[in-house]
Amino acid sequence: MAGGPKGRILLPGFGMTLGVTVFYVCVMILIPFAVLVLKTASLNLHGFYETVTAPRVMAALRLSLLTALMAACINVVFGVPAAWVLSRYSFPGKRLLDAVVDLPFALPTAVAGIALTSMFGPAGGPGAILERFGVRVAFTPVGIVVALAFIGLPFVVRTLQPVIESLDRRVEEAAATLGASPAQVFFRVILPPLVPAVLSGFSLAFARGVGEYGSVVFISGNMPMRTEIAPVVIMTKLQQFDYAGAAAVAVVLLIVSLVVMSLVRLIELRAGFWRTGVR
Amino acid sequence: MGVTLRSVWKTYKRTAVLQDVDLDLPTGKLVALLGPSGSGKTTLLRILAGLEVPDHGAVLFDGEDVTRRPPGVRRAGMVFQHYALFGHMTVFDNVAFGLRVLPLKNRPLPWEIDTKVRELIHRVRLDALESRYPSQLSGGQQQRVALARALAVDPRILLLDEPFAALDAKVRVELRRWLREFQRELGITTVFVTHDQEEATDIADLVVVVNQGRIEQVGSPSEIYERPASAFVFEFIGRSNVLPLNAREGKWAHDLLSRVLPDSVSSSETVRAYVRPHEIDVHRLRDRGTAVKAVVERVHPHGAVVRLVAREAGGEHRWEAEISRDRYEALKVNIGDTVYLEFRSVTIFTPHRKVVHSWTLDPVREEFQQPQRG
Repeated sequence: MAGGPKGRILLPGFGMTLGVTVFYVCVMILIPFAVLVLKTASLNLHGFYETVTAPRVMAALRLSLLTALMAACINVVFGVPAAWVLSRYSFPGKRLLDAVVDLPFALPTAVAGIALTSMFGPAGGPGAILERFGVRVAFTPVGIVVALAFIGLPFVVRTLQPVIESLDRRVEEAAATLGASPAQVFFRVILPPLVPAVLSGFSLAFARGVGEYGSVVFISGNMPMRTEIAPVVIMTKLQQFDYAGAAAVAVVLLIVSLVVMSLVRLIELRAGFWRTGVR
Repeated sequence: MGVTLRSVWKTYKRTAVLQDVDLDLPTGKLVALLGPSGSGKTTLLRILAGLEVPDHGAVLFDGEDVTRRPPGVRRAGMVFQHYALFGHMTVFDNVAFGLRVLPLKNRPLPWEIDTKVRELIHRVRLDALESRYPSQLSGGQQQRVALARALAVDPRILLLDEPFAALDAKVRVELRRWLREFQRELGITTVFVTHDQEEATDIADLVVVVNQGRIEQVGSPSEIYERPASAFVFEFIGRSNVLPLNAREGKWAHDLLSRVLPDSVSSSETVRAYVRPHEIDVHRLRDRGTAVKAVVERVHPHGAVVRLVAREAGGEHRWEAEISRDRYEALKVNIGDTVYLEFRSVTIFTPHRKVVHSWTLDPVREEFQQPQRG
């Protein structure tokens, strides 16, 4: 696909919009990344390896990736029904609920962090009750998952909503006239077209979770080797003026995120190939 | 399978969509539900499919009450207007769907499903396309996939919602003739919804004319054309000229009516009078007192017939006349010429009866019809 859509288009839009996009993407995204990689280059390969395989860094990276993964999974489980109910039904309070889903987007993440910490901290009501049952949330990886689930929900819901809205209900009716039970309609007819969007939402929530800082630092307690997430390690290194070390950890996060995003994109394309007919 | 609807009512948000519909559909017929948009014909079809439940009344399949039975167990095969194919499944999987969702104890073995699906795909002439996705098919092909999919579950009745509306004109005529043949072969009672009277009269055995949630008339295509039961049916089926009955423009029509129907002229709003284009004779010279003088505005040759549109002299009313090509050539009329229109027969509807006033056949034929409700 070179040179925009086929046929004559009335607005001379392609050249200009492509120019603007390339410029903006370069300035805002690619150049900062290039600088990051250059900064890492001030370490030699050995230094880079030493930095990222240090036990504390490894522990932080593993924690960040695992908690982000779990949070993204939780958000898929709850985000699909949420997106479904918000796009399919009308009920009193729907607009309010719809707006509430956006709160984690709109809220400064530090506010979320403080709210969650005071809720699940030993002094907070729910936190104290859970503690009685032997479940500690604050200052444990569980707390980190809770915080990441909180900030990731809108990604799943907002990517799914337009897709669910665009589903043709006649297709479900057709399945019903062919004798499919409601469960069969859901799993065989409704869910498959949603898979690409679910994966999109999942990967966005995951990527956001890997890098999340503000909402996590309060509830995690930042204990090295136990509840210290990768962004905190980067922050610590920066505070010690170890710029190259910070950049090295950041590069690892970047690579993992890129790999996950492209994998998901690949599955997405495969899952949605029936739209275009291209495998 | 025979289908009966007994005094079916359906209301959406206080709007009555169907009002007291009674209908009997005989086994094995191809039935057209014909009406303008918003007449309730699609709702009627959805009630047959089980996708809607009537507020009152009953739906009987071969005398068995299925009113409240969900669509899946009714075995009513439905083809939706935009086909509603499963976009993420191939043609084969689409057709196999109804068999694969059967409860395990009734489900055919995989090879039986394969055989049956292949046979259906062959019958709808899509053999080479079984591993394509719906997005890779043309409208007519998608239509046939939808048909094969509906047939896979051995439906007792086949329902088609505006089956040809989304196709282009040539494919539409081809496909509907094909459907006609196909339906004869299958012998399944088939109901299709359409707003196109030509489509309905072209292929249906039985036409059900629906208007404003009521059934206006049920009959064979020739019955509803030749003996329309109401002014609505007359106007909806075939072409027609409405006679102006106001005092200024329709003086002569008014006079005609007062001669034929002396009692009803006083309430002229409830009287409708029509003349079919082919019941108008066109002459160069006036040879009868009642002829209407008009100026030819347009000439449309249409194969064996020629349609003339003429504006009444000194008025705004336009008449459409249909004459044979021979007559047209003999007349040698051109745009702008003055002609005299003579009506062979005029059909008049009053709220309670229909009167056909004819100059060539029996002078007056009168048929009483049931008084309309509402």
